Amino acid sequence: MNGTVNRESGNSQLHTSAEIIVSARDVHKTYRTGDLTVPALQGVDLDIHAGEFLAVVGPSGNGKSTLVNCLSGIDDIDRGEVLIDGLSIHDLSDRKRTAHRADRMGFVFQSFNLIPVLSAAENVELPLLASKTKPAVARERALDLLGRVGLAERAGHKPGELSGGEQQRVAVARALVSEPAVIWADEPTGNLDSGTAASVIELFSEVNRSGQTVVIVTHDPTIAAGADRVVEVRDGKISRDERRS
Amino acid sequence: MMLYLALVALAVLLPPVLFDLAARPTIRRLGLRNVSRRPGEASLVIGGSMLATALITASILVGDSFGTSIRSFGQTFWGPVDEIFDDADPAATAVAIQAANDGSIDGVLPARFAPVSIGTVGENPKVLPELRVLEFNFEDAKRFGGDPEATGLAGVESLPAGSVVLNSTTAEELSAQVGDQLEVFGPGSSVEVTVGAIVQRTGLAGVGELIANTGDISTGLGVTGPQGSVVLVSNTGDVYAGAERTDEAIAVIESVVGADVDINDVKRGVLEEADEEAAETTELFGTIGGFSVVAGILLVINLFVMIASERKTELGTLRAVGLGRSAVRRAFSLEGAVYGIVAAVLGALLGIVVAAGVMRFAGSLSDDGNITLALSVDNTSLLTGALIGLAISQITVTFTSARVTRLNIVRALKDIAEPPAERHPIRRIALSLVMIAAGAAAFALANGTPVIAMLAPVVIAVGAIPLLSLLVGGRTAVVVGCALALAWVAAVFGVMSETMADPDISLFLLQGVLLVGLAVAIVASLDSVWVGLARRLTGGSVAPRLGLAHPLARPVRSALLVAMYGLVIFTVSFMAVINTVFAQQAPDFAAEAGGGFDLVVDSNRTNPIVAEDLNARSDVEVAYGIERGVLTYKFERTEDGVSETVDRERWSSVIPADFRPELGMVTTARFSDFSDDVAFWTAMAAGDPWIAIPEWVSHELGDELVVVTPDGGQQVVRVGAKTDFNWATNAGLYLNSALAPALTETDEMITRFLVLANRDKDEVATAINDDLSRQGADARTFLSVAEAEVSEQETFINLLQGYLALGLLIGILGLAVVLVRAVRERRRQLGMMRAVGVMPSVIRNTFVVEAAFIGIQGVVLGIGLGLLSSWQVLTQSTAFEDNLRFAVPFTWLAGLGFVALLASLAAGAWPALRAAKTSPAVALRVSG
Repeated sequence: MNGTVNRESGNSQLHTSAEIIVSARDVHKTYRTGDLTVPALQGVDLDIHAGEFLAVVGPSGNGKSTLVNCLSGIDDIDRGEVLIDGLSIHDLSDRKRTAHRADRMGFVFQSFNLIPVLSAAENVELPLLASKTKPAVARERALDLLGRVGLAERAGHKPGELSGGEQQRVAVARALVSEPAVIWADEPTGNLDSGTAASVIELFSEVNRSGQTVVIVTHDPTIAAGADRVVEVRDGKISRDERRS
Repeated sequence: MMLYLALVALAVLLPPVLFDLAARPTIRRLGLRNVSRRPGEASLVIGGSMLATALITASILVGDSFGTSIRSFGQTFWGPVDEIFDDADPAATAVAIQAANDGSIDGVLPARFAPVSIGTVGENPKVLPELRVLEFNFEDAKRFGGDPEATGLAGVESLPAGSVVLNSTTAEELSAQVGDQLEVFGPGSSVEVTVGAIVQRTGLAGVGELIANTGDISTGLGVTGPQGSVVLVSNTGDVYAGAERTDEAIAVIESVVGADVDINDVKRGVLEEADEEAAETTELFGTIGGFSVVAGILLVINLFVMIASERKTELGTLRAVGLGRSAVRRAFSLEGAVYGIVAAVLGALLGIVVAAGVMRFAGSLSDDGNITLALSVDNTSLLTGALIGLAISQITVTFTSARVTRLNIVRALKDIAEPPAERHPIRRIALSLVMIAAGAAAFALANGTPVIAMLAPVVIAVGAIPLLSLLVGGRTAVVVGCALALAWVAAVFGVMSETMADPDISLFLLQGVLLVGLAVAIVASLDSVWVGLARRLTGGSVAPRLGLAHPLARPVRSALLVAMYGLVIFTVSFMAVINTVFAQQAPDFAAEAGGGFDLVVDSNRTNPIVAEDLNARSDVEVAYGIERGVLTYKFERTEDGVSETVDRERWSSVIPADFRPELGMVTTARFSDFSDDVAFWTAMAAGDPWIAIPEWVSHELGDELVVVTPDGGQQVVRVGAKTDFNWATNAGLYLNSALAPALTETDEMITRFLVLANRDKDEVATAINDDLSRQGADARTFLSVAEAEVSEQETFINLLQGYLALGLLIGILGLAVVLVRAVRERRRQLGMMRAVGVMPSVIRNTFVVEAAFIGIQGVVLGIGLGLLSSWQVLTQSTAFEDNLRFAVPFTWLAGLGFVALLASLAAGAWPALRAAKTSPAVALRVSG
């Protein structure tokens, strides 16, 4: 048992009628390493609605993370189209795509990916500073978020001085700091013990309850069980798309 | 010495590496495959080590080349001649020596030297003011020494009467061809000769610039007295080996002519001078290059620390799967040895190129025409350079390997930072006390030794840091301790001026390394200051924040980089100040050397100018002839309570009786009897028993000297003044006219004149040279002499600065390598930043800021310390001349700072672009 989702149920009908925030059509992605060609995504179609809590599941190496990377625009696609807020994300220039990510998306990674030379508060305020928010405003917002994730006292500590769970909570705070419409989390509990993982998942639930869309890649069936919707990826295709009531 | 240390180090460090290479397949695979895994970065590592080896090799080769060039002077200038001495009847003496020969001598040649001026005949004749004519029996000369090739005359079949042989240098200067007529000028007469042959400037054709049969020129000019009549002796053996029999040959000669005759062992002198010059040049270039070599060592350390940090997880895995710490360390050492060996070979080859450049440049500075500076590559020297370079890299690699393999396996596997080392207060106090005690004891016992005087207080101040840190915190303790040590190192030349009066050049290397090292330690401890400053200046933007955060988070790595830059810029700045200070002093030097005079005029000894001719000129207000020769004197010296009488011979110049005192040279110190310089020169002109001595002669004002006249008479004089002007005109001691009869080895007529011009002095110098060229007039303004002297120094310092520029190259390369590796090291961070919306331009600027931060610190520290150190040494110590006006070459230093900063930005440009292009998905290594 890695974590449980404590969320109010009964929102799924609402989500299906809510606006589509991410829309993927016939998305293909192939990796090439030397002579080896690995088709990672093979004609994926997927709509994600605003306010959804979506879990992406599937065996390792079947394209879960690639799907999230391609949908969020941090990776290119070979064919197809991904619309975010109605914008074809892969048709945007790198600069505009980056700016769009900064404004509309937050990311949480399995290995935290905090910058070790910056303090917790400095890590959290980074996306705001990248989008030219005034430093004082950014710092106030970062401290507020750290307070929300229970790390107000640890704001001045560097990642090396924090536990794994604390680091991941800093990473969640960083993902939330710019109030993004979508939060992409790739195995966010993969490096955490079950207790810590549960508290991190609870954070995502809170975020989702406040109306933000959360997409989590996970191997953990408990987490998937608590999501509004579960999408299973096998061999680069969506093999199951299931909404929970 | 360095070679032996290198050999010992390699004998200890390389065998285990070779054993692993041959007999430990796992270690071999790990070591070698890491080399080939990233060839681009391996090339950069090799490049850094290679430059250090190149500088070491070049230093040795330049020293060798100077030595070989001077040794070859023995061949080109003296050929078979080993000894030479004056003799009134050289033909008879030659016969007597041959008779007394015990086998140590293989040639004796009676000859005559005559310094003459010589010119071409016809329209617009070219005149050389002073040329060495050598007369001897031409057929005897060809056989002299048993090797016709060594005489340089082998190609000339015969020399008819009235014909002369020119060496190639003289022929070139006169644009003379075989068959041309030349006019040789003597006192009141001249003779015409024909160029019979032109030969290479070697052997006897190097000793004499113009060779004639006995009497062909001297008889015609009427210079047949004993002066210039000499005997040339060739020792058994070839040109170089003959010098080894000098003592035996001198014994034979003295058995004939007596022990009183001054026998000049010219060949042995040249060869000894060559060896000394080679050693001094190697030391000079080795020391100057030492700054770059230290920078190279810092680079190698940095590179291996970075490689280890980058491979932390890999090293942890190796340890986890069962490889012992020793095996991991040896795999690392093997990889380092591969880099080191390749770098040593390439570095030694590059050293040849660098040395060739130095010798070519130095050759263009050498204007005396006697010594041709050329590159000489000795295989032993090449090997020495390569071995020293290899030893340095291997020692560095060994220590770095030992350090990096002391890792915690779990932390390494999880890529978690190592916790700060535990600090034991007792150990720190003990370490502090030991260092303080050791420093204090060394200073108390040996503060008369310059190195101890400089180093011991540094050991005390740095040793106090652990103790101090218990009271005021680590950073404050480092700042205070290092600041005190730095202040001492900067001020030591002034504070301990007597101990530091004659500093060895290696002391400047030590001073530079200490200053830069201490300053870097202070700067590295002020990280919060830099962050605060950057935030205030940039308002907390991402690029400056991250650009500073990374170097500040790795203080040791950053300190090594800043030190690399700082060391080289410190030395270049120091030299630039010295250059500027000397250059601006030229008019002062001229005034000191010339006093109230404008020109110094020399003329041919055979056919000299006379003072009346100069005084008759409308452009000359007054000209004084200065008689010169050797003064013999004795004085009492007391050493360790024991008195002794010491005999001395010194080159001297005589102040004429009608000398105008107001024209006297500037003195640097006068005896209390004299209120000013005029008072002193008035006494000198009046013939009072005073003399003036150059600063470097070790007598004090008021000392009594007993002058010994050639007839055995004695006269007491006292030192009345000291001067600095000797370097300009080689005047030696200045005597009053009453002492003129005491001089020996004087010219028959006066050949040196001090002239006060009444028109533009440059024009007057040119006019005198044109009008009196047949008498070998060589008129120079004192200013031009001073400027030439300063210019020569300036060009030489420029040569050293150019040599140091290679160190800057090491710095740039080091910064580039570190930043390239930083891109790899921070790949996941970069991917995350790009994912969360940080623009590529911001990431690029982060690296630019990082490069600029390192560059600015290096530039500011280097230039600042260079100015501080040069000011101290020039104005507060006795290491250089007195009365030097400190000057800052603002434009030059600004240019240096700009170029160094630009170079650091250029070093950061490629890594910055590479980082900006990081693909977030690839960098995050997302799989799924």
